[in-house]
Amino acid sequence: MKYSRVLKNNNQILSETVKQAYYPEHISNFSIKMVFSGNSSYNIGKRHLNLFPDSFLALNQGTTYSSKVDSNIPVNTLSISFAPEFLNDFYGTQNKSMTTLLEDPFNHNNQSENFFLETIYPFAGDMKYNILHLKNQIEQDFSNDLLINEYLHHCLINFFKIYHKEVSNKSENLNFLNKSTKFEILKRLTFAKEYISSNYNKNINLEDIAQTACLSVNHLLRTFKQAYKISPHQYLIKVRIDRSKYLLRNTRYSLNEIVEIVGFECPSSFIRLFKAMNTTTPGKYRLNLQ
Amino acid sequence: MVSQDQKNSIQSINPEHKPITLRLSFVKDSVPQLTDALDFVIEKLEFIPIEKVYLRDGPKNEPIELKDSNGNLLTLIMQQIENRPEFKYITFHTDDCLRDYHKYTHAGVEFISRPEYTDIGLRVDFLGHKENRYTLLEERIYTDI
Repeated sequence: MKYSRVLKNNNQILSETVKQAYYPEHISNFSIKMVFSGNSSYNIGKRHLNLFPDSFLALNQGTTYSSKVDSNIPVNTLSISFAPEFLNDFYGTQNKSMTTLLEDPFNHNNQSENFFLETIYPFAGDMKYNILHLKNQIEQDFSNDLLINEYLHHCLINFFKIYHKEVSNKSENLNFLNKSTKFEILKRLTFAKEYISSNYNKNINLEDIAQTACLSVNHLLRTFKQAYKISPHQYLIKVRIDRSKYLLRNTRYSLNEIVEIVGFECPSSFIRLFKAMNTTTPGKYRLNLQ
Repeated sequence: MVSQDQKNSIQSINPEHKPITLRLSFVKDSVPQLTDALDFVIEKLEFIPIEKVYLRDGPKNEPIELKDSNGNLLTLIMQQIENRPEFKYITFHTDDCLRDYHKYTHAGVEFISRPEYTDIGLRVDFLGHKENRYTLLEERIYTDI
């Protein structure tokens, strides 16, 4: 199943459900990518990451990447590519005064040269609501450009809010005086988070994470805790528990199967950690959803 | 009057012609505006009550059944609410605020602002027939399930 649409203003939406697919290297506009079931993998330069339904990936304009789906179950993906003019216009309306906008409404040149931290972000809250509504509309083959652009405009509003929370605020938590040092450290920490999120079900260790982030183990531990208020290990547990919740909600896998899929060593430690984080057991959690 | 585009839009939410339910919340002070709210549904959304409706003394407890020229049914549920200061005006509840904002705009509804994010969801205020102010609200749950 495939839906591909280029709007009159060159914003593009691609939605498809596949088990196997390979998209060779190409250059993107600023784009966001989601999966709603299963996972897809991306190669961005030397980085390799897996995208799951709890996250979305933001790619900058001009980034070269390839992607792949290789799964036993159908993987539903959605990709939104924003035309540079649409993005520039959005920047302009967000950052300029009303007077400037009235006097020079079409001059938003080079606004989108502000690059984002290119990584995965939590797919939740308003962003998730709006994307699901957009998906619902395109699945009904709703052909109104104005409405689709309204959703896309709100996706940008939602993205900026998430970006502020996940990057600007976290960067402020770091104990460095220099702003560029803060940003560089945060960038490396996001590589660490990406690595944990992509390999959460494997037996990963701190050295692997530190090497991916180009930080020493001690430096990683100290700065990760400063930025995110939890340790890399606690973050790994959180990712595993969150993904187990997704599987409890959306699949019929048994508890033992879920324990294995998300990478816990035994059911007892999984149940103990799940209860500590959710004040209920996995069994009761699933039961309450029925 | 509603344009063809608007009619298509209403049908698109109801592709199998299942009855649509429109929920309205109001506080005690806004009872006099209920007739205007009903007029809005009749004139802008083009649904006609199946039976005559009197709202001067407030709504009855039963839902109001309406129908459009294509035979689509709309059930209007009016619910009085208390102790919810965020519900200042009569509120039209929706499951997709942006879709209905777009739909109402096409139907000629005058919006006072752009949709904005609040603690309870996405909302936007609009004017009814007698310059009464209403809210279109999509309540959202922000806590993890």
